[in-house]
Amino acid sequence: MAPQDRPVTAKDLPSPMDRVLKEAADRNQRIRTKTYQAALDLERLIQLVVGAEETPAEFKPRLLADKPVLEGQVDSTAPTTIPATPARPVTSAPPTPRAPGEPHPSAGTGPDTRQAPTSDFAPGSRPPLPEEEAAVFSASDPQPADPTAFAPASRTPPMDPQRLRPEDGGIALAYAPGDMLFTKGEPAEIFFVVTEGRVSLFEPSTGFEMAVLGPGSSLGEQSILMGGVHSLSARAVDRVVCTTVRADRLRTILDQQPGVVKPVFEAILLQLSMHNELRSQGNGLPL
Amino acid sequence: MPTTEFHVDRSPIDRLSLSAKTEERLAFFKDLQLSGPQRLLYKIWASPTLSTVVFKPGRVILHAGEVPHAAYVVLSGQVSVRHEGRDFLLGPGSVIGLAEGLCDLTSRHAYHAVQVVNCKEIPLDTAGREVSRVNSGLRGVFRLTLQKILADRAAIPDWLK
Repeated sequence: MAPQDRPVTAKDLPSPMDRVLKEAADRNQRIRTKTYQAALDLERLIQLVVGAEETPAEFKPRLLADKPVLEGQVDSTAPTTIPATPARPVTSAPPTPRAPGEPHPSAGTGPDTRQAPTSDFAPGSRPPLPEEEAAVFSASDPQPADPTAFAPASRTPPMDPQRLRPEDGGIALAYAPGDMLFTKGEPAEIFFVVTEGRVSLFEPSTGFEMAVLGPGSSLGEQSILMGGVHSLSARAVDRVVCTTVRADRLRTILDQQPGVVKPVFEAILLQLSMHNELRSQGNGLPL
Repeated sequence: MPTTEFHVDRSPIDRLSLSAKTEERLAFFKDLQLSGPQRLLYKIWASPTLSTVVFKPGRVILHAGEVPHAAYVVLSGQVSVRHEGRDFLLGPGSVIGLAEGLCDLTSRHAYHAVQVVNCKEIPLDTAGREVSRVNSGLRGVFRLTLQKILADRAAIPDWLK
C-alpha cells in the first residue's frame, strides 16, 4: 500500500504539544523577520528569563500608558501589555514553607486549577483543600524566619547559576519621542536592546550627536561592568521599544567565567570606549 | 600633520604609592572615583591571567594587512597610527587588534611604538576558544559590541553566533 493510501490514524494527527511548538516557532519566525540578527541573540538571552511579571521599581522610566510593553511585541499598533513568557509552572517547584494558618499563595489569585471535574477522582475522593495542602507543607518544612520567604518568586525551582532569573529583566519598555533612556554619568545598571524605533546617542555638554541607533542595536554595555557609568546620553527620537536586562546578573555570570573570558570582555568594552571617544572628537579610526 | 590623541587618564591610580600596604590600598580604592574606562583599564592591568609585554620605541606592534594573532591593551607609553593624513597617538587604555583578530580581519593600519610601550597581551586563539563556550546571552552582548566597533566591516565568526 502506498503511503498516501494508508488510512489516517491518531498517530498522524498533531499532538497539542506539536501545535504549541509550531506556534512558538511561527512566533519566533515573525520576530526574526522584524529584527536584525543582532537582536536574535538577545532574544535567546531573554528566553532564559522566564516569568518576568513586572518592571523592577528602580528601573521604571516613563512608560507609555504606565504599563510595560513586553518582549516579543514588535507591532507598534498592538496593545501595550502582553506577558513576555508564560509563567513557570508551579507544579515543578518545590513546596514553599508557610506558617501555620497562612493561606495558600494561590488562594484568591485567579482561578483555582485544582477544582477539577469530580469525574477525575475516585468515588468518595475530592481535590485537596488549600488548608490540607498547607498543613502538609507546614508539618514537614522548617518555619521560615523571614516573611519575604512567602513571596511567590520563592516557589520557582532552583535555577542554573549560569542562567538568568525572572527578576533579572527580560522586559521591554516603551518610550515616547523625546524621552531620555539615560543620561551621561548615571550608573549603568541596565543593558538595552532596541527592538523598535530610533535612539539618539549624544554628548550632553556639546550636543554632538554621535549616533542614531535603530532596531537590533544595543546600549549600556558599560552596565556589565561593576561601577560603570554611561559615557553618553540617550534620547528616544520616535516611539522606542527596548528590551532590557538587568546587569548585575550578567556581571555575576561573567565573574564566574574561567580563564581569559573576563579580561577579554573588559578589553573589548575598552576598545569600544576608545573608538567612541575618537568618533566623538570627529576623528574616527576605522578598523 | 594634524594629530589626534587618545588615552585614559592614569593619574588617579598613579597617586598610590607602590609600597603602600594592603590597608592603605583598600582605603585608597574605597574613596576613588573612577570613570568606566579607567575602571576597565585597571581591571585589565591587574588581571593575573594576561601576561605583560614591552615594545621598544620604533617597533611595529601590528603590521597593516596582517591578521593579528594577539591583541594588546596599552598600559603605558604611546603608539602611533596614521590614517588618511592624520596621526593618531594612542596612549594608556588603547586596545590594538582585538576586534579585528577575533573576526579574522586584517589590520588596516600599522601600529608603531613611539615610546617604550607596556602592554597586556591577549592571546586570540585562547580568547576565541573560551568566549565560544560562554553563556549565549553574554556571547550576544559580545557580538553586538564587536559589530559596534567594526561597523560596516563586521564579519562575525560562526563560533560567536
